[in-house]
Amino acid sequence: MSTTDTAATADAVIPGPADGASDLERACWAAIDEIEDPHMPVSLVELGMIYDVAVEGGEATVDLTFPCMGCPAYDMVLEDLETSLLAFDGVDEVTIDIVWDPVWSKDMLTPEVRAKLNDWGLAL
Amino acid sequence: MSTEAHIQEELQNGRMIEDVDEMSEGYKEALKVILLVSGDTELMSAPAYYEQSLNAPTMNARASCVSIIQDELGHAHYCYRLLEELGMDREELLYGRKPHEFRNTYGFDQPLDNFAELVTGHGFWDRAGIVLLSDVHENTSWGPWKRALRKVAKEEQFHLRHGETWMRRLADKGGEAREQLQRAADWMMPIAIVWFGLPDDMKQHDDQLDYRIKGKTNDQLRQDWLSTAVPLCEDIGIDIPAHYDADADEYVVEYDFPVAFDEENKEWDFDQPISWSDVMDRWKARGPANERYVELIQSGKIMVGV
Repeated sequence: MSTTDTAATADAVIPGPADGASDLERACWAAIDEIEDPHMPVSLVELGMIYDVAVEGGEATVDLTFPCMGCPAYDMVLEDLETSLLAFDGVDEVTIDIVWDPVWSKDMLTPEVRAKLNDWGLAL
Repeated sequence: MSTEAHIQEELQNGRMIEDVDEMSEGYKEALKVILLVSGDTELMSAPAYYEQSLNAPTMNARASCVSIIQDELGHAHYCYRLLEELGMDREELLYGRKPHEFRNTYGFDQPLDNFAELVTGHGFWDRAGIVLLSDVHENTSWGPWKRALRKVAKEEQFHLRHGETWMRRLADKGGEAREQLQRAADWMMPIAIVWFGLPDDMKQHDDQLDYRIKGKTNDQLRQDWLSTAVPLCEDIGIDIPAHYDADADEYVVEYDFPVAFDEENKEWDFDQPISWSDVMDRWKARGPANERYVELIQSGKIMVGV
């Protein structure tokens, strides 16, 4: 085990629901974790693009960021998120807030996700 | 048993090739042929897609289009890099050849004149690329190519999705957008049909199959293409001359292909069948945009001279 691996583990933000998240919010996170990025074989959650998911009164709000501005799959990602969350009984409306703070960084990837991407042909 | 026959038998039994030293001459030559067509096709799709990418109707669509071009150049790079393993010179392949020496599929010698043709290119022709390369990815006996295709496969799926999404949008929009899409499908579908080559019953033997460089026959690949392209067109209400025949349990092309093509007007004469040897001649003569596209690729090098 190299020190780089250890550092990456310590720094990586493990994305997922906060402690106080409702069952529905947890289910939404799990559903988003099934959405594969249109360009790479890992999920939007694994890529660290999802900062928050909140559901209140039938409205799901997702804080979403992109690894780069001018993402070539912008429309596809929004469409996939909406379709995925609208499938829940408790969700009638989906609002997606595109946020740039904190700025996405490859440090947000866990070693496992990096290994997956590396195996696929992308060195990060 | 000859050396070639012996290696073919081993390959059919699942042997994988990793190193050039393990190849027979026949194997290496067969690889060069398919890799050159594949690399040139990826490369020449870039200039073919370029102009109309700048006419994309939204900024997001334009970002997708430009990203596709970047992907295609990357895919071409893989092929030329692999050809280098086989003793060819990448620099020479890119910059040393005359336009008519490129071996890309005939579709990427055609001018694309509007955004509808561009997205039909993604919806029809990138689909043909996916069909061909998924087969190679799954079945090929050459390890380095198999591994390189993992990334290519995922990226081509992105191109196809972009194409299908926009074909659907143009169809839904109706009016002139829909008419342009129909006109694009009219001339671009028959190019995809011929893309897969000679029908199986006319092919004596196939080095690509014998050496397990690919796994499926031309007709099987053509059926794979039809099995997803026909349902898409039916779903969005675009007519193409092909349908599923339930009795035969296969897709049927409703004209006697191959037929004559009027390049200037982008029209097929479905009542004028031609021979496959005519198709080969047409392909070798290259199409109307061949010189312009090759110049787009090569001109930077010539001007900067590095």
